[in-house]
Amino acid sequence: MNQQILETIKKTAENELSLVKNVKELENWRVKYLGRKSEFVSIFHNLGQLPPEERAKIGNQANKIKNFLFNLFNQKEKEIKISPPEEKEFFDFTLPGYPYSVGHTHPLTKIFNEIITLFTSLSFVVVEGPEIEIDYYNFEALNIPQEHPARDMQDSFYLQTSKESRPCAQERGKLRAKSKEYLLRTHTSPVQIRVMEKNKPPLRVIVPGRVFRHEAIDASHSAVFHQVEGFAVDKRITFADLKGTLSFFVQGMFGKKVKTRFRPSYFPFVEPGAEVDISCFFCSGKGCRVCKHSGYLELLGAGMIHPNVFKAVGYPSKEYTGFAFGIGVERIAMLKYGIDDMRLFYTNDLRFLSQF
Amino acid sequence: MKVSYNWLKEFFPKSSTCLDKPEELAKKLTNFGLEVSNVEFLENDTCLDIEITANRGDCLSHLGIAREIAAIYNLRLSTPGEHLPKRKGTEKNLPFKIEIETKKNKPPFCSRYFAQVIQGVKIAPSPSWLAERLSLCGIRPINNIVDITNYVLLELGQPLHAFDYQLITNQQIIVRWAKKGERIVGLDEKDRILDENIPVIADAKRAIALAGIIGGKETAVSENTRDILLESAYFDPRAIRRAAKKLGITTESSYRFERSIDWENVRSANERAAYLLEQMASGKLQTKNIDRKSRPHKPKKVIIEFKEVNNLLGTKLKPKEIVSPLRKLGLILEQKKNTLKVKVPSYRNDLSREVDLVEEIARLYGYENIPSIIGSLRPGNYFESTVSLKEKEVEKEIRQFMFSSGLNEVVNYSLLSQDALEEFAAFNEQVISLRNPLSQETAYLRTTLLPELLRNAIDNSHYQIENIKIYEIGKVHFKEEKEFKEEKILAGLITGEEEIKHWRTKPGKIDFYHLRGLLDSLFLKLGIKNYKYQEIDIPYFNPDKAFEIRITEKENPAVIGKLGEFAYPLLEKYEFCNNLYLFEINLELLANLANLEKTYSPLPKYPFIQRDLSFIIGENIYQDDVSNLISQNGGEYLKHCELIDLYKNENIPAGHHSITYRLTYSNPKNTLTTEEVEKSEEEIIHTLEKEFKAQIRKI
Repeated sequence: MNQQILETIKKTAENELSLVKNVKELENWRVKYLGRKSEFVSIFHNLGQLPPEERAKIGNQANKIKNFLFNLFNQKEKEIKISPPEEKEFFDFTLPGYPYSVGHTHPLTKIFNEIITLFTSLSFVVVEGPEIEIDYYNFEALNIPQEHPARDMQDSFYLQTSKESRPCAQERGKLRAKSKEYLLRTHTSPVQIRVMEKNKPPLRVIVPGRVFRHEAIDASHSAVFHQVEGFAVDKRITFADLKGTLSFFVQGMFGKKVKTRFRPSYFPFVEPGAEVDISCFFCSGKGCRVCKHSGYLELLGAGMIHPNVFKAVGYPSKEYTGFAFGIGVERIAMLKYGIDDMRLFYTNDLRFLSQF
Repeated sequence: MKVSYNWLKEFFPKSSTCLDKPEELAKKLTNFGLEVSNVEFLENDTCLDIEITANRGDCLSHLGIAREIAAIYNLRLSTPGEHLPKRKGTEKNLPFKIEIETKKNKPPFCSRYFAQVIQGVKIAPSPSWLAERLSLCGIRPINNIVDITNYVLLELGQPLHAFDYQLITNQQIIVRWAKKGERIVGLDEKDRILDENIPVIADAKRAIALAGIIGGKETAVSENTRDILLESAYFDPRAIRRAAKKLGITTESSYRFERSIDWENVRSANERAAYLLEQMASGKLQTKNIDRKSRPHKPKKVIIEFKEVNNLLGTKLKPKEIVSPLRKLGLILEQKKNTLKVKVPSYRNDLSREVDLVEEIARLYGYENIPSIIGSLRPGNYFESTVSLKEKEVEKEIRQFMFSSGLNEVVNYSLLSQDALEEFAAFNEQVISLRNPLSQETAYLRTTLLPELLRNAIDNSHYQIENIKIYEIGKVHFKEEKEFKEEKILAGLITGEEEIKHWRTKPGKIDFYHLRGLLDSLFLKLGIKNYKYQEIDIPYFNPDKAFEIRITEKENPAVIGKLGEFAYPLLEKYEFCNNLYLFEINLELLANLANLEKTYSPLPKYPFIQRDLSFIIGENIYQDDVSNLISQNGGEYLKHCELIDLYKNENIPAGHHSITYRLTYSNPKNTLTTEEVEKSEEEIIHTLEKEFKAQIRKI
């Protein structure tokens, strides 16, 4: 036993203590260096065997080191042990908390998701379709032939095509001479045709997507906007089913108190056609500025799928019936969130987006 | 269409008291499919603004609306001009001829043309009651002759045109297609050059009117006009629409012809106008008139099965309940046991099939009275849609990841300018351009989402927002091998400070490692492992901070996207004070690579051991290579190695820095021994010394 050994123990202990991270490790350290069975204690036990002059010297040094380590231990314990403060200090809980940064989902995505959730709960399947369409799918197959006045309702963007441009392989067979014109789809309804061409009833489908209209952009018009098309085809589907389905949707979206109104309207690919209004929830139907004092808000268009549409997809006539509807996503979002300018959806002002 | 309430009342002389007040009437019309968008109370009258759908050309007149009202209220309608007094007309006829030209390979566009001459009219302003009615309906009063033709148009829906008889060359009317290069100056003073697809009314010399669209200036009624030739005709809706579209003009007349007018009304409307000209412009009728018909008009017949009505509507209507509403609409019916034969009047061009009549029944029965049923549908067939379920799942996963990483979702138009594409080196032969753009700013379909994300950042910086973290999922379109393609893309932009400010911490600025970390974490979340960032040149990124994302799977190597730091010159151009970091990834490829299938691996039973190793190493050695080497040489128990420190100070030789890796060891089957760990450490130290001349630092 000499002084060097003691110094080594001191250094190792000090080193090891620096690596100690928690109370449990600290206790292990204490047992190892300061415990009853520790090296130190054995040194004190063995002091008697040393010559007297060395005994005093070693004893003295060991004591010093023991105190030193004991102090270190106390210090470390204070550092890592969670314990009440000795004196009551002023604690300002009103200081701002740490702000976790969470993003925001675009309001249109939120509405898309809500619509999809409601209709998938009625076992509708979600399908998407191309944004670049040909005239045939966008108009003709939907009972909107060339020169039909209903085309006024849906002015289109046409694509510049070079002479060699041709439709994708799968569509080539389908096209008639007139319908080769490419355009940006003006509604999500062409997906009706695409789905029915390839699948047999019963069908229950919704189609979320982006659509384009050749319209100058202002607070209530946009060249780009979003729709969810929905349709169901089977034997014996009736207008009553359409009413039930859309009433369910309206209540799911706007709450139980909101009433749904169906009134006759015209969309070439449905007959009978309907415009669906909801009772104004700003004024509970009494009449206000938002509903232009009518007590109702226009919501969406719907109807029973036109026999010419079934004919276009090759379904035998009179065997099936079906309904279809088209929901404007912006329209729903504006009503639901009280947004009065459609352009806000696309300018992506973070002061706007962070409200959702 | 703007409609006068008082005028409508005149159609019900015996029962005008039964008619509701304007607001109540507006509600009933709206529920009946004629949406009244506005009711305006004027001094002496009320104006109803009614939206007429494209199928209801017959409702573009007061008579048409009155017919609907008659059906709603079950009233008897009295049509003006129905019982015109028999008039003799003057014997001294002014002669004229009418010819409807037919061409071999051109379809005829005029199936009926009626004309008569009214002599000795006195041109004057219209009486105020008539002028007021025209004004209410949005038509400017001009003189009594023109005003009367417009009045009858608004009253009966038949467009009429009055020519100055004396100005018609040879008093000869030829209904024909225009000649190529033929010109005409219209009443709107516009000079137009025509072609063979424009239908015209001509005299012996020249075109004198664009048929069904607008009259010519040269034969127009003027102050000097004495005798007029009054035209009414039935023109083919498609021919008129095509011509009007081509010439870029819509008139009250073309709008009605496009939507089909009443074939049977052609003559009676003309006679109604002649009667008014007689009354109000001192005109004299003559006995001779001409009524040319290219085909006889056959009324349409539609057969309805009672059963089908209920099958489509979901109602239980009795035959009686089906017959009575159709009667109210003035249809002529022939009832059999299970069916109904319907003769459709000539004004209802929209009724040609059973379903059309089902709608009429439903309209009168009331949509609100049809039951509302939910839950009776059979579930639809399942089928693979164009977008795989997996792609939808991955998209959902990405949105959730972005959301929780503090990124805001943006939605942009898909349309861009040439400049915007050029800035991102994307203006090439693949870009699809619009034939009829709204402006040059939106003339091309986007092939990249980055220009719009940049635009969003610029806009937001104008609103004094500098910490911007945004992403978008959207489609791009392009031409490839002469085919149009579309792909779904994920793109994002981050700039500013790394976290929201807090009083206890000083945030640093967002740099390249934030961008890389974002993507690394995303790939980890999606279970994508085999990828690397490869330096490339991208003009809009800074040279040393531009990378493509390469998939390193042997059987499936691909570039799925790119990332980088926005180039300094562009940063300066847009006056950004922080660096911008951008990325763009093909979402479909990403979805294919993603692995969202989870398999459980047993939890370790034995404690792990962590060791930290520090080295002095050359600062131009890629740490990707170092960590790869550590992983490869650390032996079977090394589970994980992580760079936890990197720094330089005056004690470290120039061109070098200090790095510290934390190594995690575990053995799933046994407690690890110190020897096992030390053996691995020695191997790592040895390899790094050999490969990179790294020097181990003793702590």
